[in-house]
Amino acid sequence: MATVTPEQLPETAELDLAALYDLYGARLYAYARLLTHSPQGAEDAVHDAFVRLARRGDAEGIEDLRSYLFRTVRNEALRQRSRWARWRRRDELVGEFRLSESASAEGDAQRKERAAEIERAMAALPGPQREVVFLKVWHELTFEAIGEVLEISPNTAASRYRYGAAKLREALGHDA
Amino acid sequence: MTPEPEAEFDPLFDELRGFAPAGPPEGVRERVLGEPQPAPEAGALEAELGGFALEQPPTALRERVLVAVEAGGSWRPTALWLVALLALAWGAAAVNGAIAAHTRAGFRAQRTGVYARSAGRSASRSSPTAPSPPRLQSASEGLRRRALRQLGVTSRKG
Repeated sequence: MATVTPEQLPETAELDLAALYDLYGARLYAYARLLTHSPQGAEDAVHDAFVRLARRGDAEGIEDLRSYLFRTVRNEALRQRSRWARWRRRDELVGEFRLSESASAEGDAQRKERAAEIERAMAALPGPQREVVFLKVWHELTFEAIGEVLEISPNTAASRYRYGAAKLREALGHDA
Repeated sequence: MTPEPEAEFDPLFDELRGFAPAGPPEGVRERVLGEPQPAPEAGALEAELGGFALEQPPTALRERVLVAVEAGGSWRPTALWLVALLALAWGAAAVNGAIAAHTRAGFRAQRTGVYARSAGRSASRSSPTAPSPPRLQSASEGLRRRALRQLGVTSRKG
């Protein structure tokens, strides 16, 4: 699906939203899925984030477009669940972590089983740690970028990652 | 009030400026900002996890997003829209109910008027003060007697 690379992204002025979607749409959807109740909610969050960006018109003042997109999707997802957050803790993730291997019907049974183990191990992590691990491992964001997305310090992001990764190592049988 | 004159150049100030003020003691920065965290190297865990792809969005989402950004916005049935629709439906039902109630009240008033007039007539008939209508039986009796007299027939009593 991806037809452009990050180097080809516009740095200022005109935004090529189709190119941005091709590059980040799937990642943003997966992230929104982690934050929202349903696949429909995740679609709405991605949709709303792009509409917000389109209304903005340009990328002036955005230092890191990738972090900006992740943060916008996060805000849209949180806005959706704000009514639920009255009864739940705000930092509690309500979505699902899903890998394509476990979702698809075909494929290696052993690999599907391992994907299910990873999903369970991720689901067992506290929400803030899960979110940082997700952004670090699957999206390769730096701790600084993660800090921008989650509005926390890079050191807090690194600390959450360290604790989360330790739990995952234990759950998945990796030596430290 | 005259402004204070500018201080003349003093070689002492020049010498003092040559010394930088003392910085905070060691460890203060770390206490304030926290220990700098080294970026972990990608280990076996990260390599394995990264080898699994995330769930993909439905293909229709791309078109939906791009159509929406082309239009500069979108419409979707949010809870607000549903509330607005429900309010509209409720308003229509209320107006409809009000009209129906008004109509019923009209009918009721009309019926009440009919009954009232009817009841008024009944009351006037049965009123003790009202003049009683002539008794038909008495009238016919009088006529019968007059007719018999004209015919020369006397009554048994007479």
